[in-house]
Amino acid sequence: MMAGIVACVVLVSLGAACLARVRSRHLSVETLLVADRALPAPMLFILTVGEIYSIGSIVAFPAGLYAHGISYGYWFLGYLLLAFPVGYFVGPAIWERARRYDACTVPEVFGRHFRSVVFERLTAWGCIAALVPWGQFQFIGLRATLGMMGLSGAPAAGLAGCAVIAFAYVALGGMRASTYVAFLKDSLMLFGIAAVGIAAICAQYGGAGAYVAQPVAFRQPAVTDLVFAVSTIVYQGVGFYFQPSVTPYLFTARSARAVRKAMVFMPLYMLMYPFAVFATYFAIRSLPPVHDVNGVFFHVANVLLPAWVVALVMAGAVLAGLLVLAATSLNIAAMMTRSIMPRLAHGHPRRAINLGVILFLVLALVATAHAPAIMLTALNISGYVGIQFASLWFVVLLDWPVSARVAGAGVVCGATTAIALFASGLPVWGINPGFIGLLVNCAVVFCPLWRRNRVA
Amino acid sequence: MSPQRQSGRPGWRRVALGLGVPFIAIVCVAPFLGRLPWTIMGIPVILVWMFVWFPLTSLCLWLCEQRP
Repeated sequence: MMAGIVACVVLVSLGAACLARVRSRHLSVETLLVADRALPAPMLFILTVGEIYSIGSIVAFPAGLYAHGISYGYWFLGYLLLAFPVGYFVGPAIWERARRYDACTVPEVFGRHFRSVVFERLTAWGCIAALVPWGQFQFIGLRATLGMMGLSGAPAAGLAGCAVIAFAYVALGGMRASTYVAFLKDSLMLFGIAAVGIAAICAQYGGAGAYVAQPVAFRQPAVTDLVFAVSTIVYQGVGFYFQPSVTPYLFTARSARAVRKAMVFMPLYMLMYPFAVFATYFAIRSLPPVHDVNGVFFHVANVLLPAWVVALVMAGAVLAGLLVLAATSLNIAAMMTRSIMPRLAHGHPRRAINLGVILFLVLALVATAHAPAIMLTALNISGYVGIQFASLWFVVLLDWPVSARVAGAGVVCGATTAIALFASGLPVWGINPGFIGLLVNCAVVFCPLWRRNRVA
Repeated sequence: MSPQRQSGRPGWRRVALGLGVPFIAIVCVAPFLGRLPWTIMGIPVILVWMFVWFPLTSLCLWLCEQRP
């Protein structure tokens, strides 16, 4: 029954993508990549939260809280919450620059600002390096979810099906189709997380006595844990909207005001997290230890809810994975065809983008099947690379006279520092390596400017 | 429209309200709550503090949006 309900929801999502196609009078490259820069604030809100709250919200957040405790929950919630006030102030400026340069991708903004095709190409490669593991992570999450649905017998077939559906979203309507599907996905995700959370609260405090809460001694976070949490919140919170996996969604807005209005309400979407936290603490206090921590949320759902509700929760998780996978592959294909190999796309840009999407999905599928462990390490590293683009955005948004060469050197130095610290495991008082990398990055980019001003 | 909006640069009061207040609550105050052993409905105080700031952050941004 579970697989049947999930299949029905996926079919409805394809119907939503078809509706987006029908409502678009034409399907140009701009429609595909930036929804013609026409999304009003409510649709921008739905698209952005749809893409931000990926499969990780149901799988990774409860698992991290279960395994690592309070400090994990603090930095996860903290960086997301801080990202929205930062986005409120920088988001409209990012949208304005994208419109000024008529850019559909992040490298196009950089290339046109620094007036360098070579720089555009290099930043495109950097963005792709940061995006590939993120897309890959969705495949890994989808495989875990399919396994929990009892479809682990033929994982390659299940993932191939997911790849076809993700491609269908992109081909039918690009970003606009993603917005329509995001509405369905957000509804299911909110419903699922709230249902499991409320069931956990009722089971704990309902008075039925079926689930006895065991006294749990919460481990106090050590000072180094809190230092890591605070540095991660500042690093990821400030850099969130500068990541190549998030910035392009801002380009779809109708106006700078639409971006600001959407940001005002973004933190309210986080009201689903208290339910996820209740469910996780219910598992900690009242259920036997879980062997697979990634499945802790679904385990609570299975224990407390009827099968059809669990199926809807699973469907929400599957749609979340598919949606982010579709948008990420579209993003990568756009950079490949517009910035790296523009001649290939000459004359048939839409066809080239679709081919790029297929190529990425196939390669990611093969990598997921053969080397998932390597990809998880790559995901960690990509987190350190993605936010380093923040220094380029500072230069673009503030119109500071920095050359492409210096700006690029800053990004390379920052990413190298962060990856070297991460790989060596060198503890720097618990500070997030990415944060140190960003400081080095900004020092390389802005110190020459400061010295020149002093000499002048 | 105010000169601030026209220039695209937000005024410092709006930045203080929309960014400064949530930043202090999340980055400066919360770590101290993380060291407290208390719980509310079984949830550690620091996480409850974060929950409270979901709507309060929206409120700060909404007030920013209303400021001339």
